[in-house]
This record gives sequence, C-alpha cells and structure tokens, in this order.
Amino acid sequence: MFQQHKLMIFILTFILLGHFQTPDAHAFRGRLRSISDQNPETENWKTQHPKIVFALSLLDEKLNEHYVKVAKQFGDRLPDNFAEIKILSAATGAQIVRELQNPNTVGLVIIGHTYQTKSLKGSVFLGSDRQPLPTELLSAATPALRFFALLGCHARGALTQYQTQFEIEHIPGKQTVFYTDDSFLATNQLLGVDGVKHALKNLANVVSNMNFQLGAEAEAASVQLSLKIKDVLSGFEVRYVILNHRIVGTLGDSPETSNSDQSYKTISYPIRESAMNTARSVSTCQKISIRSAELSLGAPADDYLLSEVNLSTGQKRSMDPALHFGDQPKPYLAAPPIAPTLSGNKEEDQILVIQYVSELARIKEWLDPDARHWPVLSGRFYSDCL
Amino acid sequence: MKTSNKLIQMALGSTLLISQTGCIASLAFPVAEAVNMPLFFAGTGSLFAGGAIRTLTSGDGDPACMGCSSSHLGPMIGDILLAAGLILDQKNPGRTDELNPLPIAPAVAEKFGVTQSDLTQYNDELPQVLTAHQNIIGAIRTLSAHNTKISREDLNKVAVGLGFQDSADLETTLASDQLSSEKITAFANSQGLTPTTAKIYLKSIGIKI
Repeated sequence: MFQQHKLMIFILTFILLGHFQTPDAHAFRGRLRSISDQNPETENWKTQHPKIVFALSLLDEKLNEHYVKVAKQFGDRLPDNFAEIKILSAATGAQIVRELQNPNTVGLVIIGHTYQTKSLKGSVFLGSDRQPLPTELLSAATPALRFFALLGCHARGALTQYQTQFEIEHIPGKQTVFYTDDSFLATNQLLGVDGVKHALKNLANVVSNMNFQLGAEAEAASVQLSLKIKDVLSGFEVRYVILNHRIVGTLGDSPETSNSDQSYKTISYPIRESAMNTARSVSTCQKISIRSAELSLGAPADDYLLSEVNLSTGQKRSMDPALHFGDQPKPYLAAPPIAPTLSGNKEEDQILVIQYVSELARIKEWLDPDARHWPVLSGRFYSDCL
Repeated sequence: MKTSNKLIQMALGSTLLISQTGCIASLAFPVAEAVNMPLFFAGTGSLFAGGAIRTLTSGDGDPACMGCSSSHLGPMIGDILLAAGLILDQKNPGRTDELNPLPIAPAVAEKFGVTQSDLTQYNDELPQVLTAHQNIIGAIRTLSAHNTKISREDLNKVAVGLGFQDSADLETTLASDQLSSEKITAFANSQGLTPTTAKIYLKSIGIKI
C-alpha cells in the first residue's frame, strides 16, 4: 500500500511540513486570545435587551450551515435569557455596520475566511457580497459593545487590518477583542478538531461572566447628517458614510439608502452628539467622506450624483452642479452583451467571463442614462472642514 | 485496517480538513509572498469547476449566461475568490482609487517607520494624497506620451510640478538609491502635504526612503 501511495504521501507530507515550518504556525485548534483596553475612562452603555451578533461572512453552503448550528450552540452555553443570539448567515459589511449601530448589540463574532494582504501583512474578511469589510468597521459600534471576536485564519493580521487596538481605545467603555492565533483554523469536526467551535466554547465561558445591565444610559441620537443623492442603485455598490473617520451609515446597500427616481432624495443618518468628537482625527473640524470598501480591480462602481451634505448642527455644503462620483464619465449605453462562447482554455475563458459579467453590470448601473445630466466625474467624496 | 491505509486516510483527512478552512491555497504555496496568486488560481479553478457565474448586481443568474446557477453559493466562490485575489494585489492594490486610509495599528506604523499618530495625520490628509497621486500619474503620462521627444522645457515643468528644482534634479534623484529628506520635504511642499505624510505615501508606492 505504501508503495502504491508513496508519491501522494510524499507530497502531502511535504505540504504539511512546509506549513508547520512557518514561524507563526499552530495546530489549527482555535486557541483563544484577547486584547482589551485596560483603563477605560468611561462606562459602557447598559441594555436590557442584549444581543450577540454572529456574522458569517464568505463561507460555502455546508460550512455556513455548520456554523449556524455552532452559533446556536454558543447561545445554548450561555445562561438562560442572557442575550439574544442573532445570526447573519450571509453577512455583508453594511449589515454588520447596522448591527454595530444598534445600542443593544453587546457582542459581535465574525466567522469567515480571511485573505492576507501582502504589503501591510493584514488579513481581510470578505462579506457575502464579495467586498472586503471596511477597515473602520468597529468605529460604527456604540459604547454598549463589550466584545468583538475575529475567527478565521491569520486572525492576528485581522487585528492590524481592522485597527482593533485603536478602535477599542476610541469607543467609550471597555471592549475586548477575541481572536485565535492559529495561522490556519480548522473548521470541521473531522478528527475531532474544529478550531472555531473550540474557540467559541471558551468564548462562551468568558461572555457568561459579563453583565450587560450595568453601565450608563444609552445616549439618543440628536444630530442628523443628511445627503441629497440621485441615481444610487440598491445593492450595486455599498458606500460607507464616514464622519471624522467614524462610520455613521451606509449608502446604496438597501432601497432605503438608494434612489432610483429622477429627482434628488434626502437620506438622513441619526448621529449621537458625542460621536461628533474629532478624537479620531488630527484636525478638529467636522469632515465627511463617502467611499466604498476597497473594490476589486475592474469591478464597476455605481455612478451617482451628490448635491448636498448637511449636518443639523449647522454645517452644510451644497454642490451646484451636483458632484458626480463613480468610475465612468458618462452613462454606458452599449447593447447588452452576448454570453461568450467558451473555448476550453481556462485562462482565455476566465477573461471572457469576467468581461461579460463586468459588461452586464455596467449597463445595469445607470438609472438616468441622459448624458446631459452627468457633470464631470470626481473622485470619491471627501469634504473639507464643514 | 492496515496501518498504511490508516496513515493515508489520516493524511488525506488532514488535507481535507485544512482545505475546508479555505486556506489550502495558501498552504499549497507556503512560501508564496503574493497570496493573491493562490487565491486567483483557486478562484479560477472554482469558477470553472462550478460552471457558473453570478451577475454582480442582483445575485440572480442571468438567463443568457451559460451554466448559471442562481441559488447555489458554491459555484459563486470561484469568482469571489477571483475577486479577492485581485483585490489583494497590494503592489498595485487594485482598488478603484488605489489609495485608502491606512489601518492605525502598530504593525503598519512600524512598516512605514512612523508613529500611529502620523498614520492618523496621513488619513486626514488622504484627499491631498489622492491629488498628489493624480499629479504623479499625470506626470508619468506626460513623460510616456512624449517618449524620447520630450523637450527639456517640458521635462523641467514636470520636475518643478513635483517639487524638484529642474529636470536634472529629477534625473539625479531617480538615479539615486534613496530619496533624501530634503527631496521629500520639497515634494511635500509642492503637493500641500506634511513631510511625514509624503514619506508614507512615497513608501507606499515603492519609493526607497
């Protein structure tokens, strides 16, 4: 038998040993580690309806089903009526932002594949919409948040990518970030090893000792940030609305934050007054930016028009003509593409398929195809001091 | 079961186990610096193995698309990984506007030889950085368009626009191994950046400092 499978055994051994030789390699088992802000100067918010959110990002169907079960098991390990367990089985960045903005959300667990970046040695989680989760993701959290867990391969890199130390220092109250320091995290029960499950078991023990009923009263939103926008297609390209480097909302992820009419629509974002502080900036004025998380090369951006940015505290910027953001100067009006005939050559076919999908998307993005309505294309929106 | 069979099964089992983490591609290229390449290959394989694509917009398969599967997530992994592979090409980051805020983290500060507060400053200055980046791209296009026929006068204009004294200064700088702090400051002043932000930007596009 050894003779028959000699080559296979050699290759597998080589691959596995090759991996174990890397300095940060561990045994996939999901050893839970944590960092937290040690001396928070302010209190967490208390909540009577605590919610722990599981965000399952980019996973295949089987793994997804498996981790929905594991997330439910996590809830079963907690004391009765301890917290609601909400599972986002195909989470996007925008969904996670909305959950973090909820003052009942006390914990967020992200489970998914991660991809290492070369230059910064970070690790990126992708949402189910194939877009990376934004670097400032955690900035959307309220002071009710007690913990945040990153469960995926190379999670140490995710600590860098999601600037976790910086974020927990800037969110009022005490937050703890949990992560596994395994380079590769086993995800199935084969051979009795499921690193994620193992980590969650330990996490449940820690979380069980947290008290969400103690703390300061939640602060109501008293400020409105509003945008006047047009030609924003729902679900095409999610943009994050960012005030002083803090995510305060999303644009284009749902019908509520989109506009398919010919006239401008005002979209408002409620903001807590304390969230207007500029501690995350060097400057001390109010600055707004609107940008997507990093789009993949060649992926079409949704061209749209922005005519006004208004903070209810008195800062306003009107644009006449409106500013045009996106990736094309004028509407794309070509005839619908014809599905390519594949040649069987993988590389060539791959290019054909990408071109085809890309072309389809480009045609669908224009709600107002009248080129006279589109002023000069600008870059992404970054306001100066409002 | 024979020991040999057990061993083979264990080896295969381990590999399968790891493959389900999505890390098998990286594992197969343990020394690969360009992690995007394994992802790209994984994406390519899955894309064609699945025989399906998904439109970018709706999640529904297009009727005109061959072998489309609108409801099954598995086949979509291919183009997702493909996209991921392209996204993570950090040398040319593959992003729409190429330059995004830098994560404020010790590892990033260390990489650029600056403090975390400098990274905050850089992120604050990002709009100016983008303008500077466009200026550089514009200068490169100008030079490319002229090819060898560019006049000394035009070259001087490009050089002065980037904060150099003249074209000779630009040529000398490009020929040197490292950019001096004086040159960085001159570039920063010409683009309305602080010197530290200019340093981070220049490093991020691969200039030796």
